[in-house]
Amino acid sequence: MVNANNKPDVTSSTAGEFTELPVLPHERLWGFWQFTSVNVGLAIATWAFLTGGAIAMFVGVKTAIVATLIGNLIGVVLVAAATCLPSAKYGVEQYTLLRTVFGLNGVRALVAVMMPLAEAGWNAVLAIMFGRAVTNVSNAVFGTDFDPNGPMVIGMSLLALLLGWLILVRGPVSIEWVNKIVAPALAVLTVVMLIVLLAGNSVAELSAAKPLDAFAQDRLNFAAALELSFATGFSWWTIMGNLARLTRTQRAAFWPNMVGIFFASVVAGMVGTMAALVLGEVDPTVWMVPLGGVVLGVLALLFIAFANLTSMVSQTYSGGLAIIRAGGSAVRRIPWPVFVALLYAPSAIVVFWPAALYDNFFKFVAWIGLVMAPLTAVYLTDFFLLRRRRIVVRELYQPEGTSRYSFWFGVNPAAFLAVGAGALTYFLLLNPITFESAAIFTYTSASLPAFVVTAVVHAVLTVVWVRPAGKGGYREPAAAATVPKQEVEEAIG
Amino acid sequence: METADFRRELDRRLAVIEDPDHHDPAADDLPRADWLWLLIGSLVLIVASLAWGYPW
Repeated sequence: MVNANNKPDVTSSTAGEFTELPVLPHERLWGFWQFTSVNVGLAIATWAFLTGGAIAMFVGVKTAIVATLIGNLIGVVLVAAATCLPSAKYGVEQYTLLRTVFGLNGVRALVAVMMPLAEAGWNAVLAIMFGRAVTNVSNAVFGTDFDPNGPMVIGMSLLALLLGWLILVRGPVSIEWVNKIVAPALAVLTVVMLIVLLAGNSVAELSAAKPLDAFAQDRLNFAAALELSFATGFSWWTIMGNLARLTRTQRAAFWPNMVGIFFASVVAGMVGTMAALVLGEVDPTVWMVPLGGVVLGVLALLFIAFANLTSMVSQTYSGGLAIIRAGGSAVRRIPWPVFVALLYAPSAIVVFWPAALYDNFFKFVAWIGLVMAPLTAVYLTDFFLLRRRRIVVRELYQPEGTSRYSFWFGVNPAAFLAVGAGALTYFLLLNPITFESAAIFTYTSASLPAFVVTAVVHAVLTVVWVRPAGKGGYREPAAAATVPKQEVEEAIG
Repeated sequence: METADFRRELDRRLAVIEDPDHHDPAADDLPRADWLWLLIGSLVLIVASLAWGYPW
């Protein structure tokens, strides 16, 4: 899969995997249990501890359980419906299918802006967590007293990024490899943490643990915890569609999400919340030694550092491929090692201020909600409501100007306006920069109104503007060839 | 931007997909019963959670 230029060859593969070609039935690898395994592996990553810790800032255990359950449930259901079902139905990558929403050039612009920013944010968070884990190992074993925001952490964070670069320049990284080693070990770590927490603290003690940095009003704290959980659920928007196209049925594409990125995420997140509440610290790298003692704690920290490295590499690889496909020949000309270095470069700048992002992780999650809730809404509305689940696969691959999904110069302004309206709604309800909220936020959250506004604006603009203009292929019924045979037979009696 | 190999492979796949006798089980939509179970299950979980732990 790596060509002579040492760059992953994403266009000439005939295997169907990791290409933008539609997959055929015999290439679909995953039934229910296989996709569930992949799904759980994604869910039980170190970011679950981070979000759990962030929620502990605002609420105690009981309220956290409610907020985490409801927020993740709604977010994951909407994301799974919006991204997994279309990709499973047509066997096409999410970012190829999104041409029906944003247009060919619109998707390019979206990926070119969104992916590098998302990569920079997540890689910086994971690298700093790696840095703090290694630093805490040193403090525990050698009795050093390195500052959590000092040069040692910065140096180790840069080392994590360098290691990530070294691994990636050697070629493609399989998500299966991460699943076989890292996910089961993290699941064991989560269970051990839960046992230690429950063995060392009674239910009454856990219930009485106070949130770490709460607002004065209980309902506002609940709304903040709920919002962080919504954003966590919506954050899966970027990757689930590409995975789901390898499933054999739509049931196998949808329900594993409820086991993995919903239930397993909630469990891992709640373990994080309980640990943060009991130990009075939101940073997961601080929990391990107090919970497990020096030996087990150090082993857990070293493993967390390793797990963060694998998370960084796998998400940078998938994001990098999306950028290569969206960027076309201009991006393909960049040598692979240089391209990977460019992906890691923004994170390498951010890690010089570890506290700015890592200690404000809850604000980073709010930014994710601001972007992902509208993106979920616009995709869901377009596919289910406006297109009635009908896509003409051949048209996805026609050039701009020829394809029915060309819109105007390959861009659908209605979709971008709708996403913008949703993001603005979010910002007015909850400012991710300051985490200050409008009075009504306590009762509405920010993600759900942003979702609704995006859906309504996209539907209205499409019906009154795009469709009458004959753009976007909304007017004609899809070609019978791409409608499932059973439906064709029913239609013709 | 696309190579000739890519175009050839794409055309081969589209020919399979557009064949009227071709049927991919993944193209069958999620059954209505699944949507109903999802709706009922979600509502029960949300209402029960709020009743148990919302800071009224």
